[in-house]
Amino acid sequence: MNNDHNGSLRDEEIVAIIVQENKIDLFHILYDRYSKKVRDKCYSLLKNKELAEDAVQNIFERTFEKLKSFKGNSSFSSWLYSITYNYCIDFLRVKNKLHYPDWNNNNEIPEIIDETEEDLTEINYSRLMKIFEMIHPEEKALLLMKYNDELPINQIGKSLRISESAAKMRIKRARARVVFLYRKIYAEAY
Amino acid sequence: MKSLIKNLFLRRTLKPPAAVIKGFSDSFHDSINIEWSKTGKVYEALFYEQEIEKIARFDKKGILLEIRTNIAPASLAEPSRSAAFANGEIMNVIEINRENKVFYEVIVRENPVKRILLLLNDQAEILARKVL
Repeated sequence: MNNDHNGSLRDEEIVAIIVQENKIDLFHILYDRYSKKVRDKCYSLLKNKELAEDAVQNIFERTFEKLKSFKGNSSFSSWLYSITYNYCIDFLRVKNKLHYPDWNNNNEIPEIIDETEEDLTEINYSRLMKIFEMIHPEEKALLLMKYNDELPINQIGKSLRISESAAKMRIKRARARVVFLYRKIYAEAY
Repeated sequence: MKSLIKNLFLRRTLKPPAAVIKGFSDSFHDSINIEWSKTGKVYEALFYEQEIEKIARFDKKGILLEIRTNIAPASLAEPSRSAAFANGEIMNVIEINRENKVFYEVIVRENPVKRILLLLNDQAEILARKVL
């Protein structure tokens, strides 16, 4: 198969060829397809270009090493993104000594807003991103995994090393916090 | 990122059968922000009640199968607290009420990047242990 043909293959087909035929040079196709998206995700959590670049290299190395364990139960991109979030959160847990229970204790949500009574259709994207910078990085990662990348809940749990029930409840709380902060800070938007 | 706002705020939730809605309403009077999903034959509501996250599971007849309640790590009572703490720092606790029995799903951390999932009964016996 030539490179042109390989370039039209689906991600999962490329993974299968790499694993079954040991054509490791095809991995660059996956790198080319996803390195920018992975870099953007890393930067959004790590907030440092050099760290994000290092993270991209480490994440693709880790992904390559784990390729044989990719079962195809989800898309390759979902799997890659769950490795990406896991890497970034583990990095921050070590480097920044992230401690979610302590942070959550010190940042209790004053009020859980009943969303049926709120008009959430006029949310402004740039304002929402500012709110995302105010919440804990683990909550931000959870919301991005669930609502931006639409990862399945079992992968979200694995990424943060928490159970599926804990993932669901933390996503719920993160969302409640975002709604509360948005209303508090941008009240005039309602 | 374009779909983020839509996915985050557009309320897409399953509509369960009337019997399940009734079963839920009978058990949870002060619930808000209810999100329904279905796995296999089980209907699941994720919601707030008195500012606490809860998950309730029902069969298709509206019979309540299980309630999961998020509780603060510091609120885990003895002797379950000591049993869990022997495995690491307590990071997350979910109380499970199933068939009139109480269990605790506890996540502890051994170090910043190693977390362990424990399942305890109300006698503080560890029934299951899994590295996450």
